[in-house]
Amino acid sequence: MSRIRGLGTDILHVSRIEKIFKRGPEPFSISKHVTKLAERVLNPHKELPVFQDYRNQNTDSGFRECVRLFATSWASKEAVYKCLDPAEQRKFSMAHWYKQNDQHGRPFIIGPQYSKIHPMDKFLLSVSHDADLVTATVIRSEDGDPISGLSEAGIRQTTP
Amino acid sequence: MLRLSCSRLLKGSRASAFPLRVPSLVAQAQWRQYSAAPALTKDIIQERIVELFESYDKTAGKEILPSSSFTRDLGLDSLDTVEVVMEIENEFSIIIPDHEADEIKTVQQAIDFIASQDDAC
Repeated sequence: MSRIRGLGTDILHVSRIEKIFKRGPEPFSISKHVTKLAERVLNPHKELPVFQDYRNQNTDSGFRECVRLFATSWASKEAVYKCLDPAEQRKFSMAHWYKQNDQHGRPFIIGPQYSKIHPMDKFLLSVSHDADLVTATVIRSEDGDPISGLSEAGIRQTTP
Repeated sequence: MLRLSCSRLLKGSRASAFPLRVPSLVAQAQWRQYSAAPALTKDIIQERIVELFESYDKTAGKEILPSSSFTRDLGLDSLDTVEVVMEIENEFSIIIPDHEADEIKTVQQAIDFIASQDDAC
């Protein structure tokens, strides 16, 4: 039986990320400011390499993908932060978490370091986009099954 | 000399991240580069932090006091705060870990943190 332990939500104007990425004299593809920000927010193993691939394309569509990836990741992690207990919020680092999609396109978010300490905690993520806005909602629940019993993606294998 | 040579001010990088204006301290630092560097007192830290906030579009024109809260008084949200923390890192050539950054919620707390860093310059 699951128990709801926390609920978090976040909303973000995607254009803010675009503005930040375009700030400064250096082009987006080599901007040190962008690199530093990306390293602070994106997971170095799962998100940052994808971001860098898009960035290295040096195209408008690559730029848009970077903005979308960063904005969605940011909103999802803000929502995670808000559903954590205060003691865990103090230890929270965005780069420790990553947001991806499963084989059905459903988003999930996982923090491997957090899960080692709290194997019973499960995070359910929902993301929505409209025009310039992205929203993310996360429910933290405590499950009877440790997370190690879940799929590699950190979610249950279900039939759609 | 070390303090001046490692100062981000001489590189003028604030203008790239916070584009509104280049603070007057840039001129001071360049003018003084062959004399002794001033000690990094809390007053100097405060002065540089106030200039940093004055150059950020969301806080330009607002009164920046040591007691000013980033969120309540200056109207910064979490994304703004990350940008400001990164700019403080650039300004003083330090690294602020996430868990420390989360505890910096006022201008005074930022000043105290920087003052506690031996390598801040």
